[in-house]
Amino acid sequence: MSGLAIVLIAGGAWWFMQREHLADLEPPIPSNLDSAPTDVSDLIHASRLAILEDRSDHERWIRLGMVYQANHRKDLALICYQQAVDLDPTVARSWYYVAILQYLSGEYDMAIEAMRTVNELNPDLALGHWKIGYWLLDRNEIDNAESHFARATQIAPRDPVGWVGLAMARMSQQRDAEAAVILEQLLEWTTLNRPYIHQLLGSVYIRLGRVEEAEHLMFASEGIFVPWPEPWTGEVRQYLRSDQWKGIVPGMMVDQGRHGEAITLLQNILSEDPDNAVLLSDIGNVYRSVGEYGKSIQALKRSIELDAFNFLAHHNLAAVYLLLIDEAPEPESARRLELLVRLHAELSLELNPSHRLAHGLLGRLSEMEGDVVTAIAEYTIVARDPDYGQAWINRLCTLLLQEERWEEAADVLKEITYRYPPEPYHVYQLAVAQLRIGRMKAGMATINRYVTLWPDDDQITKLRQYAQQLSQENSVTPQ
Amino acid sequence: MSSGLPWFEDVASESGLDFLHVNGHRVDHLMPEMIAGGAGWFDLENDGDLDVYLVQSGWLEPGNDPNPPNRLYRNDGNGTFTDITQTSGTGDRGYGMGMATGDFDGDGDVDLYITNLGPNVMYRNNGDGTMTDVTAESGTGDERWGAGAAFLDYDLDGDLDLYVTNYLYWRLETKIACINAFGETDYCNPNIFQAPAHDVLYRNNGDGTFTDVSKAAGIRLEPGNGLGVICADYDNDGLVDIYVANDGTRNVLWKNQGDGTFVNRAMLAGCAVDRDGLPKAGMGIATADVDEDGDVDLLVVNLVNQTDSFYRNNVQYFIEESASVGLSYVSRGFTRFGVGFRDFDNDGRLDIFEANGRVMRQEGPFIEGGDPYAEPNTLVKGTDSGRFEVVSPRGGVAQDLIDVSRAAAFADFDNDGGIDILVANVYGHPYLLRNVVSDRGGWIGFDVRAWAGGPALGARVSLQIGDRMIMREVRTGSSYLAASDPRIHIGLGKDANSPSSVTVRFSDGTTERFTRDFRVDSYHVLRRGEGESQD
Repeated sequence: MSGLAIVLIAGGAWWFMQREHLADLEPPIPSNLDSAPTDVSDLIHASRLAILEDRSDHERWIRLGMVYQANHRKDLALICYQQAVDLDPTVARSWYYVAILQYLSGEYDMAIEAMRTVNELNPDLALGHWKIGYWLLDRNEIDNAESHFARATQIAPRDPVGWVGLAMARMSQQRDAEAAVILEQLLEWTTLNRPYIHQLLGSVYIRLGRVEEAEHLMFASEGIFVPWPEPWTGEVRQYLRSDQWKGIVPGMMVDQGRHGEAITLLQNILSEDPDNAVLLSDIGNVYRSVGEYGKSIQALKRSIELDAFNFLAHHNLAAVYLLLIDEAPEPESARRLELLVRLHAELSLELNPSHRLAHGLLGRLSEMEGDVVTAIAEYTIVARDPDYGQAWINRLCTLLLQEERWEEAADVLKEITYRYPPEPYHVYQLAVAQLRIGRMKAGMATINRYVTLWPDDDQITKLRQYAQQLSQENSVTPQ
Repeated sequence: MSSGLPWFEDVASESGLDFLHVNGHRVDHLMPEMIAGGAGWFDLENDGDLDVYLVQSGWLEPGNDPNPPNRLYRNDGNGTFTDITQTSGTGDRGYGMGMATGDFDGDGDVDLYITNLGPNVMYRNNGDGTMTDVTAESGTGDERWGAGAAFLDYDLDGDLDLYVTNYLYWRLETKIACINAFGETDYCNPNIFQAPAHDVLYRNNGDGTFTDVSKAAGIRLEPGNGLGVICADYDNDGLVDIYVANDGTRNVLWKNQGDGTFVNRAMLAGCAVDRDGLPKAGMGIATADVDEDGDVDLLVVNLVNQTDSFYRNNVQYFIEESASVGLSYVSRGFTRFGVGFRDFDNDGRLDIFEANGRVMRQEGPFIEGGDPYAEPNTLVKGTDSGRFEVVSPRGGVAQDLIDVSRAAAFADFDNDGGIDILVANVYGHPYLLRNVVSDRGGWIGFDVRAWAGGPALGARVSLQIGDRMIMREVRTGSSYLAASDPRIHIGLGKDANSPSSVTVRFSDGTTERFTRDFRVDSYHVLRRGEGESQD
């Protein structure tokens, strides 16, 4: 028998004995478990029971850890993850969860060491590299961070997070021009967190003295930041329960287009908590999305009865009434609905002047009444909403083009095409608007952008002809 | 980590500050309960020492006794304070938040503005140890949820205007219960309410009244969850700008355009968000020319798990450098509110004090069985390398002081050349942290006065001592819900020379040079009109 084999056998025996010893550990249980809602305590009991059936299975410890992590007991979660690591120190995933919780607990050095172990065990995991990269950036270990980001981009070149980190490392190294190139290239393909990337690129442009370009980007950089996808952390969320679960899960379902499931879930929760004004407003909104207007109105009215100050319920109710105007059987009904839209939209704004969505409803109402000037004014306000402005900014754009207010249209179209992934219609109209108001160079640049984005599109010829015609009038040679 | 003797001792109790903050918490966790906690210093009687004002809150839900009043404590000049709330007429009973100080009526004494959940209050100093509530006639009683406030002369007309941050469009009826998995209610993230408020800018009309010019000045364009505010000339154009820390929404830098309007340049200036590009939960703000390069740098403190945001000023833009100056990991573990750059050990390098206290329950309190919101404070020391190092013992005190701290107001209340700190604690007693740094370095102080004798807010003081080019601005409004000593204090280290002259640019742009024997270890009054004009 070789020396290596002896070592392996001895090590294996030691590990087996250690594993037996570790398997005696009692899975942790919170002292106030009795006060937890049933859905939380049931989940904990079930997960603990699974461990008690086989204490040596690290996966079962990870699961209990996730239950605790998702339900605000990170201290107990860390115990479980550490036990999983002790049971099988070769599993990168257990180390990852340990690292994350240590970091959240302020144990930064230990967290970084744990994440290093993740990377050693699984060197081809981009997640581990970019995660530690960001932590090292915070510790001002720029070069070290940069190498991890670079590795992440090699492993997963279509994952934007590593590229963003690499750009940030370059910025910290004062290599702004390189950072700009990385971010510019990223914007050519990623759909994730574009406003955020615009903002970073804007910062780089400022540092490079490219202020005008920065201004356009900053203008388009307001928006929701979606946490970067982290598959392992994402798994934890499935164990979220109780009141947080009540609010969050249906919302997630709606975001995924699972309206029917969201309604069923909300109905179940409401059967136990029928006077929850927030959830009534939520279900009213989902009913509206699926066209069940009667149920929507009923739920929203009840929500307002329970909480007259709920500006969202007022807004949502106004939105339903607005949808019904077109279906009103006679003008009198339509008129009554218009009054209701105005009433609830204005109440929503009165209760919360910074909630801009009601301006969109008032704009639509004005448009239906033929008052385009007021409609444009209202849409201009709501279009600035970073979260929900897209539909309204499109509407604003349509009206400005319709009214031939080219200068304003050009500005709005520019914002649309920076803020959101560009669409042919908007880039086309932007070029037209710029040419119409004599911004010939800008118009040419936009045509070039169109050509780059959609080289085979047959609108290009039309655009070029139009530019040719105008440039002859203005004596500017198209490029 | 620097280690050694304490830098401060808490003398609040023995000095007579018997104030106890009441936030009215019963069952529901109502947001204002955790945002309150203002405090400050001002010289009520112009007698050369600074008095203490502590902002009280009270009860939010109906059916309780009237709210207890705010308290004013006179500095007796011997290390003790006497409660003169009643005789001074300053015991407002609104649900209090913060305060600002400044001589708004130009009569040479300092007036007081209180922000409340509900109508704010303006007290005019009568010059005889009393104050009069002039809210109604001054037109400054904004009824929203006021938080930070600061006086400034934005229109260069020589009188002080007023900027007030508002936090949320919140009312008791719209309370939202945020409940964790174990059925415990807790305070909410402000973004849950989706109701960021608009701030307000009041222009001083010069006759004791103010006009709300928020809309005309462009301030109405950017709602936010406004907390801290600070006024400084960030782009060195001679006009005072306004920086607002927003809690969970982008911070705002209102650039003064010189025509009565402001434009938000925070994004373009690189100080709206952090290096990671995300809005943080901005609470308190400090500003100073930390690197002595002639412009003011900026520090915003944030929520637990978010780093401090140290923005180094390049005049055209800021670069966020929290990591490179050593503040990222120091700060992450706490929720910071009050903050200030001061040279506590007079070694010639600015240090940082941060007053901490959570807004959401901790899983493991700092003390077994203790308050799940309470935290110790943080003290870091400036070094020659430009980095900051944590001071040991923690917070600069011999034994941890663990409370839910909010305002930190800085002053040399005993005029001994060491900067002291008043810390307000939510539902607790304040700390009065007397500076006991052993072997402090030399120092020099300047008390810059406007025409009428009040503090010349917004004045910029420049001087050279050895190789150091020092610039400081006169301000009282900074930190979090706090008002500090308007005097400029400069630590000089050992064996320092005194400056031969000091240049002051007043807020309206006029400049005077003061030349005299500026002895070290003393305060020197620089009265407007007594220097040599440089214009």
